[in-house]
Amino acid sequence: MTYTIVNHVLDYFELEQGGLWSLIGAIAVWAAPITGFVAIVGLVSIWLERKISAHIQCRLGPMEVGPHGLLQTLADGIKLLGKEDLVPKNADRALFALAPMMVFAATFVSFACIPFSEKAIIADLDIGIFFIAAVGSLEAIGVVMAGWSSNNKWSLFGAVRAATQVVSYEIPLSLALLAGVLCAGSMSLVDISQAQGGWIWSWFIFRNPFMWIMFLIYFIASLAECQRAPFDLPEAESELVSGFHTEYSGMRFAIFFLAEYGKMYVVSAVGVVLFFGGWLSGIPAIDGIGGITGNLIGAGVMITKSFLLVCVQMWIRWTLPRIRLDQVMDLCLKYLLPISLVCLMLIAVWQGLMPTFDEFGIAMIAAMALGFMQMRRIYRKAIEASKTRLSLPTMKV
Amino acid sequence: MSDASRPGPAEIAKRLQDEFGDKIVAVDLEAVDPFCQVDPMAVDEIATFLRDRLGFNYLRCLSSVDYLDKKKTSEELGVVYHLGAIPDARHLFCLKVRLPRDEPTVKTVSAVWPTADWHEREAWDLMGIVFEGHPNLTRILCAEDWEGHPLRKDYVSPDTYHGIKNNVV
Amino acid sequence: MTEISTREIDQHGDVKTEEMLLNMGPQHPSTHGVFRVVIRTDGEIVIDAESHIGYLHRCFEKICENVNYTKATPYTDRLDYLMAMGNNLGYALAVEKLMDVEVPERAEYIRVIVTELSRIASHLLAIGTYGMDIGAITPFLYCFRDREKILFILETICGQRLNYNYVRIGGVAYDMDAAMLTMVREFCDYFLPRVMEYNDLLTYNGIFIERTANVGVLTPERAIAFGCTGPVLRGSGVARDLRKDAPYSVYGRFDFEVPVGSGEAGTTGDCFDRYMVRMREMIESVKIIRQALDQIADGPYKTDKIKSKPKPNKGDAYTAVENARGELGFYLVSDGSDTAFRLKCRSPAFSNVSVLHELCRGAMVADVVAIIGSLDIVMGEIDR
Repeated sequence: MTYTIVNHVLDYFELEQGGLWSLIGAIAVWAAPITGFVAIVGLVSIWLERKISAHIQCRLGPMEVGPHGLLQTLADGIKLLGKEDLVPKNADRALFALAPMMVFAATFVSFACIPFSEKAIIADLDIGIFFIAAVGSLEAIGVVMAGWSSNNKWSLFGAVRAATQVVSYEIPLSLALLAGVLCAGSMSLVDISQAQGGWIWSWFIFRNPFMWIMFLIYFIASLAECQRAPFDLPEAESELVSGFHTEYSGMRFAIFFLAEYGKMYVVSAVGVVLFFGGWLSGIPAIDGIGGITGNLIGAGVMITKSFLLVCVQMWIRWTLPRIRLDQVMDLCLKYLLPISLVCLMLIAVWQGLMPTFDEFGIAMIAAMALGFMQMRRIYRKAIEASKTRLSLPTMKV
Repeated sequence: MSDASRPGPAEIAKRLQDEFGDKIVAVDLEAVDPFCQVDPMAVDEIATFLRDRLGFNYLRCLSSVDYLDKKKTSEELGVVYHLGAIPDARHLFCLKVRLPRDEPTVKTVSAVWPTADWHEREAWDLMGIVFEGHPNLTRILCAEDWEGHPLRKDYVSPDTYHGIKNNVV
Repeated sequence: MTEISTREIDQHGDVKTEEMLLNMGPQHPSTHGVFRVVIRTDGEIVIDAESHIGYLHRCFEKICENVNYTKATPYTDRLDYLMAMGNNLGYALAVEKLMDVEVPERAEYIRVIVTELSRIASHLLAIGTYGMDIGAITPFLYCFRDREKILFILETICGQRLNYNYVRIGGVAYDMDAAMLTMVREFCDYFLPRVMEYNDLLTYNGIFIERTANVGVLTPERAIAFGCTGPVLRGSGVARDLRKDAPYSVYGRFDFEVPVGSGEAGTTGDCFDRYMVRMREMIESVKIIRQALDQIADGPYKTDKIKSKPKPNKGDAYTAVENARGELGFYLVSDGSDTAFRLKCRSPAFSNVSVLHELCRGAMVADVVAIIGSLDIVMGEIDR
């Protein structure tokens, strides 16, 4: 455990470590800012989502409140706060009230283990990854609680779908996490990040030929974990009205909403730590600065990278249609699970046999660039082929 | 079906008369849509014959008509069947039945053309024509507890419905 | 509780499960209006479905018996409000059939142009909302962007965006000037590449094909038996299009194809085929519009023989036109006065949706949404 600010403060006031004051201190120093941070992540993500979706769809999105609608989400939040707190007549009131808190808590707690930079971490647990995976799946319980307690068939459908999906995708997700752990030899997120120090080719995604597959699996599984399109079956608004949060309104709904965006950030941040070098910029000179400046730069790099992944999630959401439940399970159990198992084994073998050297990372980057271009070409061809197969008349302009 | 091999209205009417005799009440080939007026209780047999032997595989439209006019020359109700064929769009015929106002009963053709199911329910709902043998003759467009059959000429619209006032003057 | 379930497991060798009655609609995002389907499900599998309609019933047919022929035209707009031009046209043709009236040629061409524009707008909405039913929201906005252009053109022509009341008995309400014709031509040039854009975005998407291929398969026999017409019937592989088979107006003069479903992604008659027929029909409509623009000549845009209160001859006639959703028929009984004695409207979506329960059996809950979307229902004309 790093010697955190709380301990500094307690020392300053000559108070006992680990007692009641330690708890209050922890809340004051860490919980409050993190709540603020989650809220800001939520606000920014929702704004980003609106803007990205709008620009994908040839619209402008919110433009009225604040410059480019920056304050729109805030205004909406205030509106939601002012709304009446509705509970359906036959709902299980206690569970109904508890469910959003449960979902939010699951996301919120995950933030404790995410390093923003070398020192800016609340709890550098030795089992950080394990903790995040464990806490993250608590969300499913909250969703099931919401669906069950609403006493609404659509909600129940959503809840059951959520449970099915989250539990299934947990497995490939965890296997993908294990790949990072294998490479770093540690479950601590700080250690994993530090293991990727050096130039950009030291990042785990370039470490061996299988890591990028693992990253794809991680990313797909994390989409399913967040219940984002194309895996948004639990709240499929064209099928299940609103899924598990059909009956929620006002602030309770807002909490669900916030938790969803918080979760998106969490999975993206974990993905960045595991595959893209965490807070490291990939340039040794910058990473070596250290001190408060270094930590601030690190935090900036980390947040930027995470938000880039969040943006990719949004891009996918506004492009793809929704998969059906049986296809979701097919994808998970028939493809992701076997592939991730094989990859994990190969990574373990590679890690045992091959030494780590920079040249390989450079070769990997080159190979991936080439592969990407080749894929693009094949994809173009496939599209052309499908056009003739579906024999839509070719049109002249 | 080419124009030559397709039976014209006159031939169809003749074949119907040969097959069903006096169940064909009247034939009018001069009308815009040539038609046969038939016995309401034989509609299902005639329909089956038309579908299986004359190729009318498609019921285009089933209309109910109230022939009660202002001068009260007729008090009858009627059902009009417009038959067609797919894909031959020019193979057309029309059947009509006339029904007494106090007991408008006609055989159902929903077993012959499943599309008649909903059309007959609509005719029952709006015109009050009973289709004998229909699997589920319930109201389809109006509310289940609606009274009367709105398309009848002597229908008087209610002033209130479940306390909702009819504001139309 | 535990005791009972153990016993049931012993008896059946499995946990006893119950069927669930799910009330989809009348207020539901994907029922395209106030349409209600009661589905009986076993988990996610639909065992049976029953449609309930009538929430939008306003007894259009009774209204038409109470107002004169000219005044009834605006009511026909409200039938299929997504293709109001086609309704106007069908109604006008029905009345003209009993009137021995010659409609000027220019009017007929204008009718074709606006009807086909309207058809494209309707199909765009069908495709866009279908994407939304499947879960892709972006194509919807792309389609609306282009539908907006059509609505703007139609608004320029007749002053209305949705309920046009433009095609009147004996002609059209206003003439189209050269600038309007140019607008239409420019739209045609603009529109064709856009169709390819929708295809890239939605049609060839693997998930979209997975969701629609082999779902809701309607055999041609069942389609005909249930009186399905339009893209629903053509999706099942039957080439039936009244514009081609029994040309009305001046449709006989144009060269166009009738696209039919061929099971290109799965089985013939599945949701994908119905979707694809609409996609191709838009291209055919553009073809028709271009030919009409080339052929249109100067002349009167309405006949002077028809006064404000037309009186058709005594008699009855059934007139059908090919609307965006299928065969729209008007059965008109006239007693020689200026008011219809009886006007029955055979709406295509009414017959199309009556097949829903057959398609839904054995599908999944998510498929029900896909099937309803592929039937492209408009409650305005189902409930009338």
